[in-house]
Parts: sequence; C-alpha cells; structure tokens
Amino acid sequence: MKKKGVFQPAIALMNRLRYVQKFSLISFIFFLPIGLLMYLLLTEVQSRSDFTEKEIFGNAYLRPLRKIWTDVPNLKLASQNCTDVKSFQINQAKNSQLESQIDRNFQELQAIDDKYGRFLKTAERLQATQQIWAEIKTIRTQQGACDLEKQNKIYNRLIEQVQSLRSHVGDTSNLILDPDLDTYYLMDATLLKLPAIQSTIFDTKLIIHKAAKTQNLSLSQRGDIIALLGNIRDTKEELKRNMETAFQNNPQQNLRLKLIQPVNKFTEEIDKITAQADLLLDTKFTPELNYSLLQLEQITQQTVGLWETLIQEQDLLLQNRINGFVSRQINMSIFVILILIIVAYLYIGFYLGVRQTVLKLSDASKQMVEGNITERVELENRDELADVVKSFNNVAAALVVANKEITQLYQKLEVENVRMSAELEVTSRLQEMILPKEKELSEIPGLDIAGYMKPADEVGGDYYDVLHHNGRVKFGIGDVTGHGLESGVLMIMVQTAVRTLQEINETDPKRFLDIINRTIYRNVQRMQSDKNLTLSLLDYEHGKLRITGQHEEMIIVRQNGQVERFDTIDLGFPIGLESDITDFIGYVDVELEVGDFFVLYTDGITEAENMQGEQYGIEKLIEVLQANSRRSAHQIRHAVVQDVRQFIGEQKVFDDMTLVIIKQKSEAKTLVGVNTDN
Amino acid sequence: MEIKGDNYAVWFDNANETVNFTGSLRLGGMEEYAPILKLMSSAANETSNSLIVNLQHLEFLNSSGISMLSKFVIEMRKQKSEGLKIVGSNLIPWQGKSLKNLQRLMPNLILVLQ
Repeated sequence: MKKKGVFQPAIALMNRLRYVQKFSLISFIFFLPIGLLMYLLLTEVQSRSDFTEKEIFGNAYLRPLRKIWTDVPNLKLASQNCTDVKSFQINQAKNSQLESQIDRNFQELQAIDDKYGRFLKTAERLQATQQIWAEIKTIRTQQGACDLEKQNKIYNRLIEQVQSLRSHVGDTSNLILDPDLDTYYLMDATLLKLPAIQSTIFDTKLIIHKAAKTQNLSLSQRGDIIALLGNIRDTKEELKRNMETAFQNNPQQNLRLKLIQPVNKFTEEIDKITAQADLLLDTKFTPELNYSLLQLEQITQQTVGLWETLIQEQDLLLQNRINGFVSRQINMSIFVILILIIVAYLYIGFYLGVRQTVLKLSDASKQMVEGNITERVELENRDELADVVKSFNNVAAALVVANKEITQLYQKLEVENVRMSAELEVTSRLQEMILPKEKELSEIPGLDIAGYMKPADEVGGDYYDVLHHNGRVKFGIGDVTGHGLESGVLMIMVQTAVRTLQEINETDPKRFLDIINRTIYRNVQRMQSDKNLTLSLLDYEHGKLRITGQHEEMIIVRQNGQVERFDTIDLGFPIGLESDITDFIGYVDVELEVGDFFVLYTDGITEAENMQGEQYGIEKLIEVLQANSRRSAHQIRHAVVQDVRQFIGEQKVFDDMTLVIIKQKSEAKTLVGVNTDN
Repeated sequence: MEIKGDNYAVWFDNANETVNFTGSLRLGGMEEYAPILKLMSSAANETSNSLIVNLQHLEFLNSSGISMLSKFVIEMRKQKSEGLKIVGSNLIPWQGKSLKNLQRLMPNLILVLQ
C-alpha cells in the first residue's frame, strides 16, 4: 500500500489527461534530455569541425607567406651587391622582377587576410609586415651609395616579422593544436621544420656568397658552415622521424604510399649536402663555391617542392576530417529523426488502437442500453484493454442470459395474469348473478326496493340479499373482512346458506344465525381462512320488521322525516369468528307505516374517505336520506350514491359499498304473494 | 419492538407493559397484519401481569385489522394465565362497536373507553 501512495500524484495526474495529452507530456519530458544531448553532441562535433576549418584557413594563409619566405631572402641576397654599382645595374631587371613578385605575394596575402583575417587575428601583424616591405621598396628606389648594414638590418626585420606572422597564424588557426598525429606532424613539417631548414640553407648561402667573392673560406666561415649544415642535418633527422610517426598514425594508411618517396628523396638530397660538412673539416679542402651555391639553390627548391606536397596532403586530411564530422552530424540527426518517426508512429498506432477499442465498447454499450443486446465484442487487442473487453463480454453474456430469464418470467406472469383475470372475472360474474335482480325486486308487493353494490376490487366482500318466500321477505346485509376472491366466495356461501334456511322455513332467529355461523365457521376453518363477516338479517311480514345479527346501525326514516337508528351490536356477533355465538344473538321488532323506509348499508359508505382524510360519516348519510325522504327508493339511492361519490372525489376507494333502500309503499297487510308456496 | 408504516406506528412500551397504536391502519389481509400480531404476542409473553393495548390514537382500523385484534384476543383467552386490558377512545367511531365484540370474545378482558 505504501508503494501505491508514492505513485498517487502520478496516478492522479495521468488519470486527468486524455491519451494525446499523456503522450505529449511524457514525450516532452523524455525528449528534453535527448534534445539537450543531441544539441550538445551536434555543437560539439560542429566546434571540432570549426576548429579544423580554421586550420585550413591557416594553411591558406601560409601559402603566400611561404612564397614571401622564399622570395624575400633571395632579394636580400641579390641586394648584397648594392655596393657594386656595375653588377647592381646588371641585375636591376632581375631584381625588379623579384620585387614585383614579392608585391604580388603580398597582394595574395592581403586577399587571404581579407577573407580569413578576422578568424586569424592577423591584421596588425600583417600591417607591420607590409610597412617594413614598403620601407625596403623605398630604399631600393634610392639611387646612390647603399648602406649594406642598414639594408640587411631591415631585411632581417622583415624576415623576423614574417616569421612572427607565420608563428601567430600557427597559433590562432589551431594548427599547432592539431589533435591527430598524422596531420600534426605534417603541420610540424610545413610550419616549423621546412621553413627552418629553408632559413638555415639561406644563411649558408649567404656565407658562401660572401666567400665566393674572394674564393676563399675563412676558418670562422668554415666553422659557421659546418655548424649550419649540422643544424640542417639534425632538423632533417627530426623531420624524418616525425614523418615516420605520421605515416604510422595515419588511420587510412595511405599517407605513407603518397609521401614516402618525396620525403626519402628530400632526405637523400639533404644528406648529400650535409655530407659535405665532414669534408669541410679538412682545412685543406675547399669546395667549388659557385657549385655549392647552385647546389644550395637546388636544395632550396626541393625544400619548397616538398613543402607544397606536404601542405597539399595536410589540407586533404583536414578536409577529410571535416567531411567526417559533417557526415557524423548528418548520420546522428537522421538516426534520431528516424527513431522519433518510429516512436510517433507507434504512439499513433497505440492511440488509434485504444480509440478503436473504446469506440467499439461505447457502441456496444449504447446498443445494450437501447435494448439490442449484441454479440461479443471482438477485437485483436491483446493488452490490458483486452481485459476490459473480456469483462464487458462477460457482462453482455450475463445480460443476455438474464434477459432471456426475464422474458420467460414476463411471459409466465402474463399467462398468470390472464388466468387470474379470468378467475376474477368468473367470480365477479357469479357474484353479480347472485345479487337480486331489478325485476325480482319490483315484483315484491308493497315494497319499493332499490339496491346498489360497488366492489372496491373486481370481486367484493359485501353481501346483501332480498329473498321473497311464503309471503315473507328476508333482507340480509353483511360485510366480509377484506375483499377480493376469498371474500367474494365467502359471500356466495353465506347467500346460499341463508337461502337454504329460508327454504326450510327456519323462523327462530337464534337458531338461524347459529346455524349460519356454525356452517360458515367450519367452512372457514377448513379453508384455513382468516375471514369472517358481519351479518344482519331482517324479516319482513305484514309491515312488521324483525332485526337480528350484528352489522352497522340500521336506519329508519319515517314518513314525517323523523329518523330512528338501531344499534345492532347486541343483536349478534361476527360470523365465522367463534364456533358458538348463540349467547350473543338477539332481535328487535319494528313496525313500518306507509311512506317509511329503512336503509341497509355497509361501512364502505360511512367510512368513505375524501382527499383530506375525513370520513363521510353516518350523519351525512342521514342528512341525504332525510332530504330525499319523500322520493322513491331508487331516487333516494341515487341521491346517496351521488353524494358519496362527490364526497370521495379523487380519493382512492378503500372498501366495497353497498346500499339498499326499502320503502313501504302501500298497505301490505293484505299480502297475496306472488309465491306459490305456503 | 416497533413496526412503522406510512401512516401508522405500533410499538411496545416495555416499562409500561403497553402496546401502543397510532395512525391509520389499512393493511390488506391477515398476511400483512402478521408482523403486528407477532409483536403483540411477544409483548404478551414478556409481561408478567396484564398486557395493555392502547388504541386511543388509532384513528382507523379496517375490517381485516379488527379481525386480527379478534384473533389476538382469542389467543389471549386460550392462554388463561394472561390478563388483557384494552384502552380505546369514544371519539373514534369504529372503536365503540368493534371493541365491545372483543370483550365478548374474552369475558375477563378489561375494556376502557375514554
């Protein structure tokens, strides 16, 4: 649980984002370091490339510089004759040519400086160099006596300045920092060794030139030459060793092939010259000085030749290096971009896959809601969502089963319902059939009778009857507890029992009700029913009414409108509740005059409720009866029913309603009955 | 013990050994009245002397309900050890008539109509 707590913020955040946002967020965070690394990598490679490019600029600068480095000393050498006016004039043309050449060299140099000067920061030094050259040119135009010492000083200054400029270029162009051994030693040759050799050769030339005038080599001159030659030999040895190192450390191993011959040739030529140093040790030996000068001139040219070859190779290697960097940058970028495309592709695939699944599920659930339970949802999904789909399918399958069950149950219910309706309908018809017919009632002489029964459900539990037999009329009114089928059946039983007893002419009220009670009681016991009923019986004969049994109060309304109420509490007991009720049975006798009427009803009328929960009440009933007392039984009945209906209004009807109005309409004392039995 | 419905409440006051009824009872048949009958029976078992049934605030009781009360009284009559007192109200129409019947079912039932 602790683990889950740690991830709670992440879970909360992720849950709030839609997939596109999730992807974007993660990608963004993830690619920040990658982007940074790529940037650093690319700029790193770029800076190395720029480093090398500067070296190439440096080499470009060195080329004209090298020409100046060759030509200026030649001019210096040529101007050693300035004291000799004749030879000076002979060489005037040649020297002018040389001067122009040097001018062109400086122009070339200026052009290069314009291009690369700001990278190499050479402006100042170049200017200084140009100034000195300008000075030399001025001196040369001066005719007349030349100050050789002064001249040489200026030339030396120029040569120093050029050296300083070259050295500076070597520094600022990163040439002296070259990281690869092969190019480094090439640079060492072109920037340092070869110019040094060239310079030393020139110094030797100078001495021999001087000695050539007298055709005599002094001891000190000899010593100087030997030293210089020794210097050249040492430098040459170093150069050779360095070249060997360069060849060995050339990754492509083709440098040796290209350069081994020129380098060897050069070292051989140098050896030839420097070998003469040994010869010079013999003071008696004097070489052919003019020939020596020629040799030195030759070797100078060979030095220049080697220089050009080496710097060309160097430039090639430098360019290859840059190309390598560029291709590395491109390759890295292509690789990363490819990866990004693949990632994006997979992300999109992921998203589309999820969306597909979600849409399908959404669709299927919509269909389910609308009631069309679909088949399983099939997807090629194999990830966690597949579990969701599985669960969904399980739910769908369960629903299909449940739906089937429900449909079956529903059908069963419908069948049941139809059956029950039929049963109720049958019983309701039976009940209706049992009730006294209008025709019957109208045939009873001397009495105006109107009956009304309205069950609360299809089948009611109220009972009333009017039985005409042997000149006597028996009225019954009762209320079975509850209503519905069982109550209705009990009511029919009571009706039959009463009719039976009347047929056998049972006149004793106590016995009558006792038998009814025992009959019903034992039937109810057998039926294991909880029902019982109130029952009042009224026997009418010749205007006399005997009331027995317990039910609601019986109401008599006299002709003059006076009302008499008869409590039946002490006249009986509920039927079917106790096995023996004889002790409770009593009777009351009443006389009826013409115009009097009595009312039988059940509590469905007096206890009818309106929306406010008030009961209709017996008082209200009596009011209506009194108001309509002069009218016919049917009219009185109608008035009461209307009034009760109005009172109930919108309220639900809780109980069955029964109402019987019996009016004495004529002298009934002479009753020649319609009945045949007597 | 307590039974509550939309319009009525029946509960046993242990201290006063009284089952109280309030409201209006219109349940449909003996099955629906069974829980109340059960409450009254177990209340009767818990009282040492007589159980008091207070109907003074029962505004209405339908025929099935009166039938249920009758059954209860018959049951109480059979268990001769128990005494029973029923308190009703004269102001409530159905009580005047029906409660008298209860006394007939059980002669030593004490009926008080206030």
